[in-house]
Amino acid sequence: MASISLRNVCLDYPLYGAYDFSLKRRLLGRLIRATDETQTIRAIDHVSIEAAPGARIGLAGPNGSGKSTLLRLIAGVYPATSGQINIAGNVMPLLGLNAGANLDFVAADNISLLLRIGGRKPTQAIVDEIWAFTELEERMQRMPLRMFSSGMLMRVLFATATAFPADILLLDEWLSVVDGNFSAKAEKRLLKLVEAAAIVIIASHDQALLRRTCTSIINLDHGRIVSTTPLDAPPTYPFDLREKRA
Amino acid sequence: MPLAVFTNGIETIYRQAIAAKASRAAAHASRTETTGLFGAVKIVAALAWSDMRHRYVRSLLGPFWMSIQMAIMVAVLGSVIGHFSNASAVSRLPMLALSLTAWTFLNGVVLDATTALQNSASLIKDRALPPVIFLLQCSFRQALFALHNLTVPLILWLATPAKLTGALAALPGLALFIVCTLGLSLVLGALATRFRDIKPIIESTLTLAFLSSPIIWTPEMIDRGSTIMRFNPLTHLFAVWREPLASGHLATTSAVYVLVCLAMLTAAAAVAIVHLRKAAFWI
Repeated sequence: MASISLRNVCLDYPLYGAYDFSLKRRLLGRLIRATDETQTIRAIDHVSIEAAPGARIGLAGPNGSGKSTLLRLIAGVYPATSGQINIAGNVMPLLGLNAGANLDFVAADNISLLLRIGGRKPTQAIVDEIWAFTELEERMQRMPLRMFSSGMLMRVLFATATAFPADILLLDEWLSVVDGNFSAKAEKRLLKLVEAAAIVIIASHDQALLRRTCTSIINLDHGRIVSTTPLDAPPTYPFDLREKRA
Repeated sequence: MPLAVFTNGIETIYRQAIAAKASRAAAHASRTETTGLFGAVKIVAALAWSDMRHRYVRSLLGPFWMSIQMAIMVAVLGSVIGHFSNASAVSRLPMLALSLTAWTFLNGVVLDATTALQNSASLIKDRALPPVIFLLQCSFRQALFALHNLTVPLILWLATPAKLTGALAALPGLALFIVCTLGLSLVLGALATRFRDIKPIIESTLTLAFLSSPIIWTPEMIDRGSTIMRFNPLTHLFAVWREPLASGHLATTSAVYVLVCLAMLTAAAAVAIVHLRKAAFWI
């Protein structure tokens, strides 16, 4: 049973590279009596979120409001400074498609490695299935990724990342593949993935998108939850999808 | 193609070995940890295998370039070192090659570990992989490289009339050497990522350590009373497997010294693994 429970969670982000750490600066600072304050930013400030299966949570807010940090916190990238986090179910963070791809390797090897990183055993059948989705020529499977155009690269990475369902899906912005007719196909696949997941959390600037796909929207600002808007209307994906493209 | 069949065969054996090892390790761990540990080791193995396969992409000899480099290094150093002492240079070659292979492994693991986390920042931050995976990856990758390099000492051993009696006696020492290297990579990898001043220190220390430790030379060549040599942990780390291999017996001091180092390294590695939870902040 998938569930997410954040109780009063805070995250203080230490700023290592943000100030001059060198000995010279430190000695001079001591001389002119500069106070040596601890350099941290409260990226997440007393956030509580409860999510049960079926939850589709949208995270909204301006740049730097803590949307991505909150997703990473849930994914387990950052440890919480205080508060309690309980997560049940396997989490699939889709925060960036480029992670783990090596442009010098041939496409098929990249797909295999990315699947292994995701804890899946790649078989030829799975790779072929992913390849079929990309709609690229068969022989390109044996070509290194650096020979691909950026659009082709996105197809391969998107198809690989979305090949398997997960209990908890974390999306940083709606993954979009900007490429004419492939875009619609990609969106359909993403919607299927979202439908198959028990809990989905999407961080996005696009309020309309969040209203279409989510059951509740959490507005963040400076790491705090400003407001939570529950949306009663059940999302009606295919209709909206057509509407959006029209 | 027989070569492709051979490569695939080796890959299958490798993966099965990893799976067997991981499941054995998982059997000891508690239920909640099984999938985590098992999965992590499999990911480490996959990453390391991919590193090795792709390091020499489009090259004719592939990873065996490393073996050739090793062979040339042994030939050149062997002929130079041979003039240091009156002992036969040829009889010393297998040990020299093996020592260089071991040093290349240790040096490579530690150097890779200092940059491993930064190089894998996207996998840590966007795919939420545990940072410790990428430090273990260094050891796995260099172990695979070392297996290629190992062909040189192996051939030399078969070619020269050297005794093989000590090979079994050297295995426990060799295991200690590998575990110590693994511990070093965890501790120094975490430290070098958090404190950026550590990396240049490690780099220069490794060069110094190579020259001041009995790797290309042996303790018999110099004054046995050298204080630095006696306190140098690397001297003993090499002695624990080299002495049994050469003479069949092991000095107690070396064994005790290495075990004490291992205990300290284990404690430090445990602390490092706890702190690695925060590694995403450092990169």
